[in-house]
Amino acid sequence: MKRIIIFLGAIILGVALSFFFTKKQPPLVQTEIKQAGWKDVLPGVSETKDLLKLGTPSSVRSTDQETVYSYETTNQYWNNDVHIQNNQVAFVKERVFPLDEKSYATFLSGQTEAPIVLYGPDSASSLFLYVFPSRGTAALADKGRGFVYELWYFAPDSIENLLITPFFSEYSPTRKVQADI
Amino acid sequence: MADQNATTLQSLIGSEIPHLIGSSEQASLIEAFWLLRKKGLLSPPEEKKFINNFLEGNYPEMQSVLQQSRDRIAHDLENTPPQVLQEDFSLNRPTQQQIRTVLETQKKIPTILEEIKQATGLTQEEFSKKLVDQYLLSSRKAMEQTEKERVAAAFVGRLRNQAMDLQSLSEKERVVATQLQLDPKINELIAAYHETEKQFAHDIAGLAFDSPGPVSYPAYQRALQKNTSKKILPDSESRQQAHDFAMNLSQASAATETPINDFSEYYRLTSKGKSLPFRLFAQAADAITNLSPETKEARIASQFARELQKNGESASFANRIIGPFVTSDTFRRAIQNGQQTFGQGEQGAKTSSSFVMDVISTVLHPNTEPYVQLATIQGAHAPNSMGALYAALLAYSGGQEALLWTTSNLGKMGSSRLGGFFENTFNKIDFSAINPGGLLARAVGGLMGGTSPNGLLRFLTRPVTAVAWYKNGAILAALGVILIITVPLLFPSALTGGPVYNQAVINTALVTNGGDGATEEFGSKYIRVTKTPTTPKLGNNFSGDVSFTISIIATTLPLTNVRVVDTAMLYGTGKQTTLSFPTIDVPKTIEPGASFTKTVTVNVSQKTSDSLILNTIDITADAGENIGETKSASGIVTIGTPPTWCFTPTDSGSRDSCGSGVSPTPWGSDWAGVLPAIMELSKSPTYMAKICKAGPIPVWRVRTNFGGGCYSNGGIYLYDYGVRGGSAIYTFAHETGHVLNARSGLFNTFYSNGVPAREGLLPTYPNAKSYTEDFAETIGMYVGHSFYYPAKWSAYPKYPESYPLHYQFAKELFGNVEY
Repeated sequence: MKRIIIFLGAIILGVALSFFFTKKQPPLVQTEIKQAGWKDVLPGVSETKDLLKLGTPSSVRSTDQETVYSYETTNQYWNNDVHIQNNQVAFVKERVFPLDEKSYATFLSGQTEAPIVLYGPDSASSLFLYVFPSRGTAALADKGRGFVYELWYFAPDSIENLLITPFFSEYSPTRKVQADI
Repeated sequence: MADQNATTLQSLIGSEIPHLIGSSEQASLIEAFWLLRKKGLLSPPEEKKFINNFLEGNYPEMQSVLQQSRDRIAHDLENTPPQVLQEDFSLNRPTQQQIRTVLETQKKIPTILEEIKQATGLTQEEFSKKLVDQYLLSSRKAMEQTEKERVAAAFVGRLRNQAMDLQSLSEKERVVATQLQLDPKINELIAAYHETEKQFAHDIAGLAFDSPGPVSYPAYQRALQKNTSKKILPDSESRQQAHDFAMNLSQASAATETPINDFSEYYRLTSKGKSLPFRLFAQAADAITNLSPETKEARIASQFARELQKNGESASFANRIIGPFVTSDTFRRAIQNGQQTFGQGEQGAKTSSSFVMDVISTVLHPNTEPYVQLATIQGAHAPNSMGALYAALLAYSGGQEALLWTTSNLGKMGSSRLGGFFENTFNKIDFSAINPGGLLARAVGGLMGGTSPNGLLRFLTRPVTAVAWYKNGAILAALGVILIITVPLLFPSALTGGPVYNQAVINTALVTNGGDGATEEFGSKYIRVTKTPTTPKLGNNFSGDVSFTISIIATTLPLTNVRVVDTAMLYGTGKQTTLSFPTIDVPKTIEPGASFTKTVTVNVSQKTSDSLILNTIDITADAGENIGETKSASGIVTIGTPPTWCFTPTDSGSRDSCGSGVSPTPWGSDWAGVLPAIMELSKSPTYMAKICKAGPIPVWRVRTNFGGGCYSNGGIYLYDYGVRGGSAIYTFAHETGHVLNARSGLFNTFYSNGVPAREGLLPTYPNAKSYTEDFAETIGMYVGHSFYYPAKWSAYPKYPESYPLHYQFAKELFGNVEY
């Protein structure tokens, strides 16, 4: 009897193992990092004419280097800015309203990697720039309190290249030495 | 004629455009617009009208604009007299010089294309498009400006003359030239080639100064090699611009990991400019090279570049690069070779290194009046005669301005600290070693007499000769390096031909502590004033007289029309009382070097405990041609222990205060200088409740000229400018703004209410353009503007009139208590 039990046990184990090893492994999925955009506007891809769908801008400012189209936010005092260079969207700054203490968590959701944290002019007040270079997005946020104040959109690039663009000129991976007055 | 014009119209706008205009498709209309725009056929109003309709999505009107433009172009052609057309045609013919240019350019085409690619990173097509866009933009601006129209007219006039020159060419040459000239590709390349030079100058000057980062390193390199820096650097009217240029260059270098390795070239190119960092950069490199030819320039340069990149301002930049430099092996060897000077063995080496480090690390702090700082250092640390020798060398190399300052102040200050410093340190000099002729002895003798700086002057004019007597060449080299590095920082005028320190720096430089309870504040460099209490600390239950001694000195220019306002306040828990005392009479004129001293007495009539008396004098005078120079000083007397609410003076800690590199030290008597700030804030219990409800706030004292203060990790750090008088009140209030931000959600209210969006950031906080700093500055200005308003702020929109939203927001925070 004992031998029969051992025999049956061995068969069951063998079947189980064969099932386990022959189970089809799911194919490896090549996860493609999707560029973040603002209302389907993708920096580095979208052109001026693509702004038509955003409606009428509240203001348009031009310099020799760029044209900035500003669009109203839900806050009457602040605008979202779309920077156009050479007829192409180069940068979008979205100002997040209403301020929501869960907005940082929302920003992080769906991200597969940790953001790069940059110091900037608000760092003394715990506002840092959290950057996902490969997704082309960043958030100026107070992580401790959960608030995101600005969402940035730009063409995906390495952090080194981003840091030398004018949009990141006030930000650095290291703390800037600074005193008041 | 009509047929001819129709043909001309077609050749002018092309056959494609009418077809595109005929379509109502949005894309076709946009394409037609771009084609017409590229050809320069649209007028600015037409362009504007089209773009506005485009932004509004009004396609029919977009089409209508283009149709009207097309009709207008045709109409213009029909109404252009044939002779004008003929004239235009002739004007488009090339001159002999143009022909030569074309022929030369034709040979250069491959090189030009490569150069364009290399310099800009753009293909020829991209580059051309950019040029065309820029040209159209500038053309549009030109049309809007009468002056530019006049220039354009003059240009047409020159073309007419050139057209006449053309007539002298043979028919054959003209045909060839015309064919070349009219070849669109060559035409474009010529334009591109010439625009390249202009564009580089424009881009680098514009982008490097205004918009850091985007210029590629090859573009900089090319600009420097082509001497276009000469066009840029002479425009560097301020240190900030020069610094920006250096910063951007280093950023570009760092981004491409390309070391800046040709110092001599930079030095040559920048020697005619006004770029202090660059000059320092080049000279420091020269110093290294001279000290040790085998030093790897590229490695050091790379260090410099990284340090350049890290730092936010030129003084800070210099401070940083000096650190790695003086600790480098090259420099250390030089110092160690000079042990004979400082003593033999390890101790000697240590002493020499300490000396160098003390000097370097201290004199380079920003906003530091160099001589006073130097005197302080040497008075405390000068280990031997080298300190004095170095000081003398420094003064000598500072040029005429430095010499005048030194001799003037030493001669007049005689037994003062500065004079005493020189007296003490000069006496340590081994005269027989460096000055056998006795010149120095006579100089010191003259100096100590307090009447004749000539001896010192003579000494100072011969320091190099004196040094030549010195036996050890290595320490001489080391001193040379110090000199080369520090002189450009301390005496930029020696390099630029004029003072580089801005007025604010000069005005804030002469901050000295006149003794326990006495302070001197920011203000005119022509006035020196102290306010010193006879007894800075009194016990509780005090009543009676309290005396303060005022001393006013004219530094370099006679003071006339001298006026003073002297006030005294008694701060107690929850109350403030103005103390009255007789008005003091000051002389209307004070000659340079002369001083006016007076003692005033205020009376505290009732028994008082745990309070503070603040006696402040504000002086206004004309100094030479400088009208309305001002200076203030305060004296503080504490009675018992004045309340500090939740602010806790904290003595200990090895914290790095906001990256200043200096750790806090015990407060000592400096805490008294902060008390008026706390007293002012406490006038608003509403505000104090907001910031204190979460518990104590540590306040550290950091003894360095790093600015006023900073907030970090829950505590306040106060530097030298943040512990005295009005600047202390302003600074402290600003830092409590950060505390308020950290301890409440009020920043979000400030931000959501759009205060900075509607009024812009307060201009008085220059260090960081940010909304959280603006929030803190809203507090700082609200409380501090009555006590601290330096002259440079007068250039800004007036506070509070120009910033009613900021003011109102703060007023509500303070429960309507106003300052």
